[in-house]
Amino acid sequence: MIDVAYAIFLVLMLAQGLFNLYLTLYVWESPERLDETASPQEFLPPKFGFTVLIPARDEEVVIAATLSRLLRARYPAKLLEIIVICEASDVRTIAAAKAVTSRAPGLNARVEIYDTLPINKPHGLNVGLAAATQPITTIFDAEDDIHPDIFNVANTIYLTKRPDIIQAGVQLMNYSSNWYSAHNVLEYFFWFKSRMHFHARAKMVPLGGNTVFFSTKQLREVGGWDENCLTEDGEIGIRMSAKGAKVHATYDARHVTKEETPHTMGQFIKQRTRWNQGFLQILKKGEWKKFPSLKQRALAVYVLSFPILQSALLIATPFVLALGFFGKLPIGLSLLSFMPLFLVFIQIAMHLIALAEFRREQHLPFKPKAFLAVVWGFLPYQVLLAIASVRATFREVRGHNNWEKTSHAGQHRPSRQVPRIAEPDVLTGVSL
Amino acid sequence: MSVFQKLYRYILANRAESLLLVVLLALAGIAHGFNMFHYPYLENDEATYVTQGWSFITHAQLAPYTYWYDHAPGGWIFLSLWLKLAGGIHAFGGMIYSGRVFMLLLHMTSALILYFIALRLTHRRVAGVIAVILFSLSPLELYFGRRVLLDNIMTFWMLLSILLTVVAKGRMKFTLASAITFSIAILSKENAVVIAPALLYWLFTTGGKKHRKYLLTQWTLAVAGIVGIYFLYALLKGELFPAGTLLGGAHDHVSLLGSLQTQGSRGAFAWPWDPAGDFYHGVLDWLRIDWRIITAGAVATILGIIVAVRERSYRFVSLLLIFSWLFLARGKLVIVFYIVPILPLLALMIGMLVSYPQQWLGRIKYLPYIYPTAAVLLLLGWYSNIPLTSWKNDETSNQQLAVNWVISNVPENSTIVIDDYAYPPLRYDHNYVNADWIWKIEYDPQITGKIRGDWQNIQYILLTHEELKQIKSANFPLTKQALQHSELLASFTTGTTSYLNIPDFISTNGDWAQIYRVKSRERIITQDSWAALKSGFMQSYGQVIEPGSTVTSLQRQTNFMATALQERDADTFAGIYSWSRDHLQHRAEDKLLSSTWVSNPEGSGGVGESGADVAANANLAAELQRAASTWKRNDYSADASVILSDLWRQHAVNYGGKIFLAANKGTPTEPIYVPLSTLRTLASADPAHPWGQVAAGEYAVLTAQAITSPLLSPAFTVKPDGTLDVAANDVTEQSLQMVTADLATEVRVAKDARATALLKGISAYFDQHLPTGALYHRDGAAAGGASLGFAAVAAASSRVANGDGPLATTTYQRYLAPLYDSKAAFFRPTGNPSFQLAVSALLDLGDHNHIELVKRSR
Repeated sequence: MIDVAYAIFLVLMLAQGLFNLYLTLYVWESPERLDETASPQEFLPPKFGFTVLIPARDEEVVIAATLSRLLRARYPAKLLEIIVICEASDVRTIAAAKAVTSRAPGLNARVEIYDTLPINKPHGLNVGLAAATQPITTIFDAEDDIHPDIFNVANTIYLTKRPDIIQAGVQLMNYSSNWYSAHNVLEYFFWFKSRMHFHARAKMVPLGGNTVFFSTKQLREVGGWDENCLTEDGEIGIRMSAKGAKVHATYDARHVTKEETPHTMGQFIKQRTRWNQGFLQILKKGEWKKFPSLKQRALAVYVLSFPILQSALLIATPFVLALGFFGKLPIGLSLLSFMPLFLVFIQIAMHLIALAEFRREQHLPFKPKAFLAVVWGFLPYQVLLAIASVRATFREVRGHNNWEKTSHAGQHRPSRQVPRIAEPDVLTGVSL
Repeated sequence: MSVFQKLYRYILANRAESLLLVVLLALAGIAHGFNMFHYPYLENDEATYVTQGWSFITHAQLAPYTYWYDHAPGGWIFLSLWLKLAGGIHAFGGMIYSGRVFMLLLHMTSALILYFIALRLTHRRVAGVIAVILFSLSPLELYFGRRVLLDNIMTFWMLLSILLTVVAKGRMKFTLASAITFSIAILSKENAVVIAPALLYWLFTTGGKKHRKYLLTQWTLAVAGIVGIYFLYALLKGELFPAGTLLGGAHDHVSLLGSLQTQGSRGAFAWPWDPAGDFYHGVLDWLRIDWRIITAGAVATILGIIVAVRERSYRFVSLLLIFSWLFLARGKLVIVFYIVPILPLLALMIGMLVSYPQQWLGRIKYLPYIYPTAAVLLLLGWYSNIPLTSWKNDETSNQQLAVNWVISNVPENSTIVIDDYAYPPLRYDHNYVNADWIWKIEYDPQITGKIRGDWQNIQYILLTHEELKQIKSANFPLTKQALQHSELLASFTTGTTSYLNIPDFISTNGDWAQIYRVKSRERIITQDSWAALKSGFMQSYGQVIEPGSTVTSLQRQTNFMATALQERDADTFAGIYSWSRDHLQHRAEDKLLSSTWVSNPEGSGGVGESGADVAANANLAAELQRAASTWKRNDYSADASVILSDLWRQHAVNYGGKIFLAANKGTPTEPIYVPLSTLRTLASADPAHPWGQVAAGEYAVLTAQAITSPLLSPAFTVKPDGTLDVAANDVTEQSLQMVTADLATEVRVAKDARATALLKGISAYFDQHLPTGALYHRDGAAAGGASLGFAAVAAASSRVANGDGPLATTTYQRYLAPLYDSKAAFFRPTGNPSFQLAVSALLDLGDHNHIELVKRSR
């Protein structure tokens, strides 16, 4: 009886591992599929106007550069509207942003300021959305390195594929800064290059936090972003795809929006904790129940609970291996116990190849240390993820929510008391 | 849309091609299937795989015996699914036959796959058609393809993997499917691995720049991972590393790496052109069975390499062929059926090359149709006169009859050495729990344990070509001994094409079977002892002489002839008789043989004592009569009659109404004791003379002797008036043994009441005196030394004749068994042939009376 239960557990574990691997490698299924996901070979003439929302908080150092890049975008200025959204007390960022916008009076760029609670990204986005005048609304983060042709890419896709939403590639770049950066970089790589396409086809897309294009009208119809959610990007993706929005995903090494990995392990864990907790919130909120098909609902639950599931499986793995090796099990079960390990080998191999490909297509220098870290850091990285999942679960169960906490404190001295939560709010999920 | 719907649509859309495929499949199926239960003969590997499959499906074990990693189990796991599906043991009249049906299905599927590989690589149908025809009509494929061999299962998976590799074109699903099928091919038969570089080449070259690094890695890892399960299995069972190594531990166990090493080192290295090498041998065999595909294939391989310079797809098939050939030519073990996976590849290359010129024919009217049709017709013409052996010969019926014979004649608990082909019927249909495959009896510690490593515990041998071949190669020392000490019970050789020479272990084909019974321990000793006697005491073509001696006696000659007859050694019997006649039958007055011949050191010699030894001549005549009836030799019988007439004429003497034989008829002397068994033989063979009266006289004398002492003497004195002078006679252990053995034979053969009564007395005497060793001559002198042996033989003989088995065995065990030197096959003292013959006769008697004198080892 125990044997049967264990066998079922192992089969599920193996199925999960294989499915996860399938998602990771989805885009390489055939050369045709890989070609489809790239940017269009030729751009069509600009037609759509874009409102670019840039929520910024304490970004005075980078905001100028970001805006300058946006202003150099290869797209007619009259079709671009740039809105930087700041909270009123963040005077330095407001100043830095205004310095740029005032230098280029011909451009349609301005700073929107709000002074109500909560002070977070979805609130900022909703403020920006209210002010948007163009038919397409897109989001970038203040520190993003945006490609000048990204609007041409989106314009052409809207003209040829007629989607409701476009999720374009976001890519972390500094693959050798830390031992975990290569893993973090690869998460983005597989997420935006491969998994996102699977989700798009399944019409169940937890969107990313930037380089995402919406129809302004549709955004307003669904009431904008959920200001109570820690991962508003994933939330709006699921909410809109549950309503049947057609998402097109594209990833092209040339046009990705470039970002950086968190600088310290502490920041990394905090960031990941917030994402995981955000996913749990989405799960609790239950918008996913509105998906028309069971497949989509199951996929939604799988993706949203994935961080927790992944950590549970990670903790189980050493026990499974030990049971397989030392346990007095039927030989078939012992053999099955080793399959998770086999999948880990395949994942590491795929990671190495993907990292080499990433490095080559981004023209980055070769850092052997980073490749080594892919191998030796595989398990430690899983441990980091597990810590973040445990923290997230703990916080969610205990009702800890940074925003609620800060909202009370903010009544007195918001600018000081509010912890900075505007870390790169891009990614919704973790891979692996 | 279901698979069937897809198939249906494909057929509708490709009517012509579907028809073509049906025709090709019919050809493949009929050529392979017709007569496949009768040809070729059932090879023991076939049964090995079906039984291993069966034990997997029924007991979740990888083999009915201890699985020793001889091969990876993929092949028979696959086979087991079929056995289960097809209805188990009895489907198709037997498990191996069921396996052969599976091979038929695999062959037909493989043919279909081959067609599509050719089509995908060339886009020309004629390539596929020719490949399928060659693959299906090749006598090599018909011979080995019908057998339930792992190589056939592997070939199926290999072809499937090649097709998936060709279809993949950078697609992950197909690439993974290729990896999985290729892994199964390796797990079915390890040598599939040699074509991996060719598959990788094709995946690389068709995979697309952005894809191939992912695909090749996935493919390689998937293959490594799936094949790795096999190694992991061994590791988990503690059977990866060989016993006696650091990681293997000390206790004895099977080992995957150990077996791999064994398999890998089989065969001594030889260059491909070395006539002593397996490859050279194999090529000759293959050419003999099917020179067409081998020569055409060799030419195609070379042409293919030339075309491969320009054409990518020919390069792929060339690589497949090159790696396959390199494996065979590597200089180690090549078993003749290793050709199996190469055959479809050769057929493929030939088909592709024949189709090659089609690309230039497009412009000329009708030629694009005429050319392939002509090519196919030419090919069929070329194959029209292949030997019909595959469809006509019956090689399996003898094997089947032999199994049936065992089932109706051999008790179920018997220890039987079998060729594995008999395993399913004997072990699954019947309960022959001690019928074991010869390899296991020889090498599996558990099974060798069943006979305690003692070949004398083997009772029957079901002998086949495969076993004989291995015995010849000195692989089966136990069975070899057993076979050499056994007698043929049944022989099924009807219509065999084999040259058979069992004593020299030569057989040239497997279409026969024989059943042998291993002799009893008693008979094994008499046989060995007889061989030792012959080599120790026989010279020339039939002269019995003790080393160092110059005298040969007729008495000894006839004793040896008796034993030759007992051992059914017709040649030696004839030799001794001829020698005796040539050297001793020279008397002018009669045809009786003289007593002795004296050799001189120069090698020549002459008659010594020319007088006729009456008893010896009588014995000679009796042996001749017995030999005449045993071997149907009327000349022996005629010779005996002549001797008997002269014997009666010259030596029959009347003592007061009683007739005895005496040395001298004129002046009556003491009568001569002629063995009663001899007289009985003579009485029935020579009714012209009243031999029975002589026997009656001797019985009377012995009975009279017995009144005073149970110690009977063959040297008796009879007064001319016929009365017995008892006191005048002495008796020795040896003479007593003679009389006892004689009487015992009379009890056994004639159930003579007089003999029975006399033996009772002798036996009683030994009961009293033998245990104390206090044996006395009739004159009161103590018996000593070597004589004790004769006394023991006499005692045992009397007890056997009395039917007292346990006591006879105890006597033999205590007094005689310790004297036996099994290496020399001699009872000490070794210099005394009479003693050897005496014990031999005792053992013969024991065997006839079903009394086991020699100890069993279980």
